[in-house]
Amino acid sequence: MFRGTIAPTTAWLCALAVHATAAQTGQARFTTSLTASAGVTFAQHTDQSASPLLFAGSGFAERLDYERAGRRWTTTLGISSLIRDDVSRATAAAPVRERSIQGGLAWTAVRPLIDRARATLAAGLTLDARGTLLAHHYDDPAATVSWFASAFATVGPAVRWRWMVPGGTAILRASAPLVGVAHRPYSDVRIEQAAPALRLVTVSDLRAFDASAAVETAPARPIGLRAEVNVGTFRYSDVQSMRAASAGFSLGVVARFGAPRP
Amino acid sequence: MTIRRLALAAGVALSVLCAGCGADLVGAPPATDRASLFDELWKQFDLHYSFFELKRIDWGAMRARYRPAALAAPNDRAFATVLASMLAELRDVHVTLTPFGPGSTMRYRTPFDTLASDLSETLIFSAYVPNAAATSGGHLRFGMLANGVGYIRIPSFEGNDWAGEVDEALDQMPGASAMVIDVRANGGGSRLVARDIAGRFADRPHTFGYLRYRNGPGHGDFTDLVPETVEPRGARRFSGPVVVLTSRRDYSSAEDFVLAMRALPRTTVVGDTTGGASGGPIVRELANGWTYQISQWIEYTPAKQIFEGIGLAPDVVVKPDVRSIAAKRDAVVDRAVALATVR
Repeated sequence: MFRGTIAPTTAWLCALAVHATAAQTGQARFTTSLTASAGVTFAQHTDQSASPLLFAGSGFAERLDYERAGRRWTTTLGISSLIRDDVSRATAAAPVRERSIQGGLAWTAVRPLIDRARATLAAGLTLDARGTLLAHHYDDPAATVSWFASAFATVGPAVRWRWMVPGGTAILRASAPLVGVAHRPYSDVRIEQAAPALRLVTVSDLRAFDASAAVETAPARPIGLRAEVNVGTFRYSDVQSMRAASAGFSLGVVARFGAPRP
Repeated sequence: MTIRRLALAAGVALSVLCAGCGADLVGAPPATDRASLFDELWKQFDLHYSFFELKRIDWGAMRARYRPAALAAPNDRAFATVLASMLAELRDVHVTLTPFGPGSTMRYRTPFDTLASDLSETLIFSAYVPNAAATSGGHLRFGMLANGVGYIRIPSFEGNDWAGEVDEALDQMPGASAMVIDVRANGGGSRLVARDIAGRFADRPHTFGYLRYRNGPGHGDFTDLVPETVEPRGARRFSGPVVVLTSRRDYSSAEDFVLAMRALPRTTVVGDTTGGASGGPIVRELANGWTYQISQWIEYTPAKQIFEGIGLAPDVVVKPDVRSIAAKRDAVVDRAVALATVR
């Protein structure tokens, strides 16, 4: 299922990249923007604290980004949320269901490495905080529903490549955490009433990667549209490990402010 | 030109990363052969079960003892029986295995479970509370005993959010000078319901016990003591004397209820020692869909004593008396009424 989602996404990304670089046009840039977007997401995941089973499903995601371009640094503050329903794909007699509710807050600062009139390659870092509540519906006689919580706050490198395409702007983003802290209770929320136990995590414990490709229309106007595809992986090693891979597509509206930069 | 090359490089890298790793990123589905299932079950108990040290159980030895039989099991039913036999070594009524859906749960039976019942509800509601009524949700039956003493029968704490039914019972017994709450043969259920019902008799918050949660892979990994508190609940609270009736077949949340009630100042516990099942189970599942329960905490009395496998002793011991039942009398209720009337 996941391969089937990723493959067209990747093909779309490649086509977009090739097309964009072949047809760059010069357009003005605003210094500030606010983007609200929403879309669908597909994922596979397993969370050993809840179950050994592998789950796959789809959900609805929203995101709000505030971006401000300074003289040297461009910063973006984003908040996001996601609700996703998953079903086990194992050989269980009856499908087991899970619901994931996620919230995230990310702050990214990037600085141009290559800055041309029609394209900019920038790099910097991302501070990312995300929390997940996972409701696991056990197929036991009591139809038990257990909630599992986890939260991660990380910092890592981020790159962004932005260039002009006919009628708009294309943006590629990628980031990965290097170090951070994790709150990963040993048991479900009902049981785990002790104070949060934060654990320092590095790439040896947490290997994740997020990337997106977006196109924004009418960059010289105050209002534009954005279409974005994103992919992500998440692999956390602990006594009870977590693994996830996701892909999504969203549409949004971009409101631009500030004096346009030629 | 540089930008174009970078674009191509990024596109190629992304396509390799994403298209090539699909299922590998999250791993293959878990194996469902018997060895894998046995090992997963054994491992989850090793990671989460709370009474290994208290009960001096060599879990590694259990694995060595039962694994060959599990792998040699001729069919799923025999395999489940071997797993259940291993789990029965834990002597814990909270530990269960449900292999084939509702009705197939396998659990450890205590010696008390096989005794003849010493409680006759028919006798109670014919000889003592002939005008008993049931609450709207059907979870409780109640009525007046002799001498203006109220009686509430709570056969189970199963279900959620029905503690308010106690308010109905109290509203319909406004003249009760004392209350007898009968939780004999109550196998437990929701701790929250048990606590909320106890809150109908609380004058202020009282700490009635402590919990320590298993919080690590070591058999001795536990949190600090977490206090459990009963607080006043409900629009109407009963402030008179209360007598709680207990028996050997009281388990789990019923024992939480007894703990909470006996922390209150005007409560007397009458009957027999409770069953001693305090583990607080979590549910887990195997890759083939079978579910099981694991006790994951240790509960303590306010004096910080463990009662798992021991039970909670009553203030006034009245042992089961089959002869009195034959004589159409319930010795525990008789004693409770006498105590409630004196008080």
